[in-house]
Parts: sequence; C-alpha cells; structure tokens
Amino acid sequence: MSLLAVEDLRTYFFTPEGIVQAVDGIDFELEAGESLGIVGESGAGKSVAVKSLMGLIREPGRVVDGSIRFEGRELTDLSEEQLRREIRGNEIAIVFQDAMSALNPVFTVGSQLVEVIRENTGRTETEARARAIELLDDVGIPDPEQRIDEYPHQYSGGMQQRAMIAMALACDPKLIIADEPTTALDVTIQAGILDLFEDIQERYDTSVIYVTHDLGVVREVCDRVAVMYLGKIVETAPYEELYRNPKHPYTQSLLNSVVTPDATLDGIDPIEGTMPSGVSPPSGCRFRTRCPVAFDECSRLVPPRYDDGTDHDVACLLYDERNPRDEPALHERPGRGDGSAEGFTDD
Amino acid sequence: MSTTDSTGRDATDRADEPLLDVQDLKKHFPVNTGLFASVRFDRGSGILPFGYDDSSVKAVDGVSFELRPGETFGVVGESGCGKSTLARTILGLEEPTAGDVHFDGRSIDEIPEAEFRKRSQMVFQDPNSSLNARRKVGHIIEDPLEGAGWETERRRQRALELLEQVGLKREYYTRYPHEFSGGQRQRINLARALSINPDLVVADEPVSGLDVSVQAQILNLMDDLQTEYGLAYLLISHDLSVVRYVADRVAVMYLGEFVEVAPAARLFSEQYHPYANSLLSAVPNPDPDEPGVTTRIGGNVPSASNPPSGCRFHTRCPEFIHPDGFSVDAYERYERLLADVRDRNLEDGTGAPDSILAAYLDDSEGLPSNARRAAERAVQAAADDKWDEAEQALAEHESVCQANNPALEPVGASDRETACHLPFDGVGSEERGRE
Repeated sequence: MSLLAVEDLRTYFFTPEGIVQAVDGIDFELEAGESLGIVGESGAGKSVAVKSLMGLIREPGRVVDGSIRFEGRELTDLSEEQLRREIRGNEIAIVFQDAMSALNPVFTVGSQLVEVIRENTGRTETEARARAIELLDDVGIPDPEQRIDEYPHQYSGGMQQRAMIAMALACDPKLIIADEPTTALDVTIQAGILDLFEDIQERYDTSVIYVTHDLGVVREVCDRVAVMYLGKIVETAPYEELYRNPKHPYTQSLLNSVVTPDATLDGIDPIEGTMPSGVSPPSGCRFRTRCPVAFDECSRLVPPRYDDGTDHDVACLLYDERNPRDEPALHERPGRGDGSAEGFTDD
Repeated sequence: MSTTDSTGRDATDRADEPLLDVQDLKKHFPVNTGLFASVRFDRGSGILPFGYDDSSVKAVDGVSFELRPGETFGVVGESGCGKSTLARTILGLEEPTAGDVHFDGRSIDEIPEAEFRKRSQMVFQDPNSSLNARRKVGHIIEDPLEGAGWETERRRQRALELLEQVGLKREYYTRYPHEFSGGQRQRINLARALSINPDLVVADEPVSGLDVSVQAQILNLMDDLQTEYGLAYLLISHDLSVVRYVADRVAVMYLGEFVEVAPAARLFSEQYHPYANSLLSAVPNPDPDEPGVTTRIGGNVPSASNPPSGCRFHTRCPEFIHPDGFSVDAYERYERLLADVRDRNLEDGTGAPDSILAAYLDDSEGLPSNARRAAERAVQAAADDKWDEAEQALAEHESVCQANNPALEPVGASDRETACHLPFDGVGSEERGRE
C-alpha cells in the first residue's frame, strides 16, 4: 500500500470573477521513503495541491472532489479538529518558502520547538529541550546549545529555513511537504538546504513532496517528478527518465526554456505566451493554446493519462494508439542528454 | 555592427572607447546617521569621555571596470555583496564616497543631469512596484519622452511602436499595469527604458521572480533590443545562469569587491577564484550528466561594516593558504593568538607568559619552530605591554590570505582578471583553472 494516494483531487476557488479551477483532477501516489517533485510555473496549482493534502485551503477555496488516502485513511473525511490533532505536524509536516513568517518572532526558536515537541510527544520540558538541541544540531545549526535561546530574527535566512525544517522533523512525520523552501535563498545557502533534505530522508526515512519551479532542484532531491500545468498533472516519471525522454510537449518546452549555467542564447527556445487563467481554462487539453503540435482533437477531448507500463505516464493525445503520428521531438537538440557537447559555441 | 539610431549617433564611432568607465568606485553608508547617533561613551578617549563611532558599511569598496557600447557586462554575487548599490551609484542615484564614473568620455559630474537621464535608463527587479498603478501603460512608456520635450502625438506614436517591439499589442496603450502579468510588466518596463533611446540600460535583477519560461522570453527580448538599438547593458543578478545567458563579460562580486572578471563563456567553463568556483558549483543543473550541486562554502557573507582582513573571502575559502610548515589545527591556534593580540586582550592575561603560550598553542604539534619562537617573543612583549611589537612578531608568519588583500590582476589569458593569492602556473596556462 502506498503511503499517500491522491485520486481525482479538485480544489476550486470561488471568487467574484468566477470559479478558479486551481487543481482540477490530479492523481498521484507516493511510497514510503520516496521523494516526489512537483514542478510547474506559477499558477500551475502546485502549492494549492499540497496545501489541499493538509487541509490548509481557506475561503474562498475548497476541496470540491477527490480522495486523499494517507496510510489507508481518508483525509477528506476528517474534521478540521481531527486534521489538526492527528495529521498536521505529527504525520505530515510542511515547510514553507518564507520561514520568517512561519516562525513566531516574539518567542525564541527553542521555545517554539519545545512546544511542538511537548504537544506531540508528551515529553517533559527538559527532555523536549534536549531533543530540540539534537534537532537543531541535525539540521546543521552551529552551536545549538547557545542558538536555541535566540529569536528567529537573530538567525540568517538559511538558518531560519533550517529551524523550520527542525520544526517539521520534531514529531517524526512520515511525510514532509516542502513548498519552494529555497526559492528566496542564495544558491550557496540553497546548496546546503538541498544537502540537508537528502540527509533527512536517509536518516529519518521520511517521504518528501518537494514543490518547486526549478528542475535543477528536483534533480538534486527527488526520485520522481510530476509536471503540473494549469491545475493538471501532465506527466509523471522518474526524474532521469523525464529529463532524457520528456513526452508531453509542455515538459519538452519547459526543459528547453530552462536557463542553466551551460546554456547560451541559441540553446534556449522558450514557450510562447503565458499560462491562461484558471477561471476559464481552454477546453480539452489545457496546454493546447500554447502547444506547438496541437491538432483538432486537442480542443475536444480531455487527454487521459497514457501509461506504457514503465512508470512514465503522460496526458497527451499524441500518445493515444488511435492517433498514429510521430511523437513530438522538440527536445531533440544537440548537446543534451546524448552526452555530446555540440551546439555550445563557447570560446 | 553599425547601428545608427534615430538621434543620429553612430555606435561604431565610439566602439573603441568605453561608454562607461568606472574607476575605483566606493560607496560607504554610515552605520549611524544623525548628529548624535554616532557619539559613544568612551572612558579611554582623552579629555572628554566620548568617542565617535564612524564605522560604515562598505557596500562598494573599490570597483573598476569598463563597459563598451553594445556590450553586456554582468555582475553576479550573493545578496549583500553590493551589486545593487554599485548599479545605483553608477547611475547617480547614490552619491559615491570615492572614485570616478566616466560616461562617454566625460565625468558624470560634468554631464548635465537632463542629458545623462536621456542616455542612461534603469530597469528594476520588481515589475509590480516599479509601474504606477494609476496610470495607463502608454503614458508610463511616454514619461521619459515627455521629460525630453516631445510633442503629444509624436510621443503616442513612439509608445505604440515600442509596445509592438517588446511583443505587446498596440491596444494595450490604454490599459493599466494591473491587467498584465509579471512578464508583460517587465516588457512595459523595457519599453519605457528604451523610449528615449538610451545608450546604457542598467538592469537590476530584471528577471528574478519571473517563471522560467518567461525569464527566457524576457532575456531573448533584451538581446533582440540590444542588437536593434546598439545598447550597452549593465546586468545585475544573483542568478549565474541568467548572466551566463546574456552577458559578454562577467564580474563576480564579493563584499564590495570584484574577485574575478572574465568573458562569460570562459568564466563558466573554469573559474580561478575559489569564490567564483564555489558559487558556480552551487547552481543546480537539471542535466543528470552534469555534476550535481556541491557545497564548497558554508556560513554567510560576513558583515560589510567590518569586512575580514586581507582577502575578504578568507573566512569561507575552501582553499585557504596555510603558511609553510603549519598544520591546519596549529595555524588555527596561532591565528587566535594573533587576533587576540590585535584586540589587545589575551585570555588569562594576568598569567605568566609561559602559561598564556600554553593556553593558546597547547602542545603545538605542526607548528614550525620559528613560528613558535615568534609566539614566545610576542607573549613576552605583550606581558611588557609592548603590543605593537607582539603583533609584528606574530604577523611574520601570518597567512598571506589574511595579511594582504589581493588586487585584481590579469591571469592566464590576458582578458581575465582575478584577485586571489593562489599561484597560477605561468601566464597563459589554464592548468590552474578550477573546474
């Protein structure tokens, strides 16, 4: 049995401008100890998707349909009270992008950690404090015995994020959700946090869902990756498979638009236009308005997910056997994946 | 490339002369502002028991470079390294503390403000807050033209033209900024910056905060506009990938100083300065065939109000040079003694010289004998209150990284410069490049 099985999850926002279908029927599974990356551009619905898992969607938003089974337990049936007591923190913990706003500025880091530990494990004050120091040490805070008594503002940005991660680890959750935890940090600091995530997974044997827009980050921390576009998952595969053999035209374009340190101007071919609004998404396939290989059926049929049995599935009509046509080959440019370095005209 | 723009200036005429010539530019911000804020109670200072705290944040501390017409010069560094202050100081938005900025052969102090504003423009990071929400997009784009005294109808025509050039529709002229996405707003910003036909555009983080696909679109647009208008860009970014993508030359900045300057392609294939190397190896690359992220440096950028002595990167440097004969541990102990002597405050200062020495150096394995003798002399001198003598004795064996701040000097091929004490095997050799 999977640790987490999400089926047909739909989260809508009921705004005066109309109903925003932020997450519109996504399915995925997560095994114990596995890490899944959810990538997509802003507005794709990745943050809403993970917040839905923890019941953190607030008015005017609502999970309107679907099932979230965590260790066989249906989370959508639980009350707010049950979610708070039994799930959040002790089973599933979340790390946000903005650590400073998630930490309380008027309490020391230690007292916040101790409170969480006592609340969830029933340890005594002294035991909890010892555990808190251990956790701060685990997440790489220098001199944890001293720094435990400091306030969040005395920590640097990277250390605040580490403290947040310590907070998340405090109750030995089975799943940690990380929502763009390094987006606001410098690359040198980010590198340390990414190392920490790998380390945590090994030592604590937790599963991780890592939300990010950066494929390079996914490569560092995730086993599998789900690509989201306008409320839907368009492709799921193990990371390396996805990179070497992207099937969905959106994934292919996304890989082609990534600006990396070894790409020059000619190596990049961005997708045209911007993501349409979630209020009135395109009919059929939602990517068709920007898709370079869209055909007539794309506007009529919502593409189901095609799975060729290799743990790599894609929601695109091009992969329907009844549509015999050549696979799109946008990703085949020299210098990527095949190990050759042509195409880069350095020097 | 010959680009004759509408004002009749010909880019090729000036191609050999730098458009922008920055010499030893410094910008320091006082830590305390106001008449009394800097006054400190200080018993030790002469007749009046007050001292004056004139410490300052050395945001930009001696930066020199040239920017040629039509060229893109990128400045990268972590937050707090002073790159944005550099941009603002060059444009005259901050008064420089020292140094010269020459624009097209003249000092910017001598150029009338109106002329300088016409020829240099800035694009800011946050496209949301840099556009006036209450004004129509067309009018925003026309602003610089209005300042230059263009007539209404001509302005309108130019704004419509520009909208198309930056990939927007002419109909957007009458819309308001909130109707646009972040990427579109950055296009509007570019249109506004270009309306007056400047020679120089300073772009401070023009694409951070935008989605990857939109980033690439904006960078492509900037590149197209550069070709069309013969612009020179000064591009400030924390994102090495972005800089790599569009810059001709790149400077890596650390704590107010340039540590390495090189043509973009060459810098990204190999780095001489350990900081440049550490920074690059921390950038995640989606390609599984490329090396993954490595953490070569820890900690944070030290405070710019009290930067480390010598090479400013030495506190985090993975390739710190230990003086000959020292073990890593022994040098650490020796260094602590030196630091405390400099502070005129030895631990256990009342004890006998021998016990002080033992407290600092312990059994001192891995300590060269002449350094040990220097330490003995120093502790004795300190005990006699001859601190300067003590400091001198110890400084003899100090690491070069702490003793001297390396200057930016040409290394390897002549078109690149680095500020590092590490030896390089002869001029022209790329062997020492760290990959």
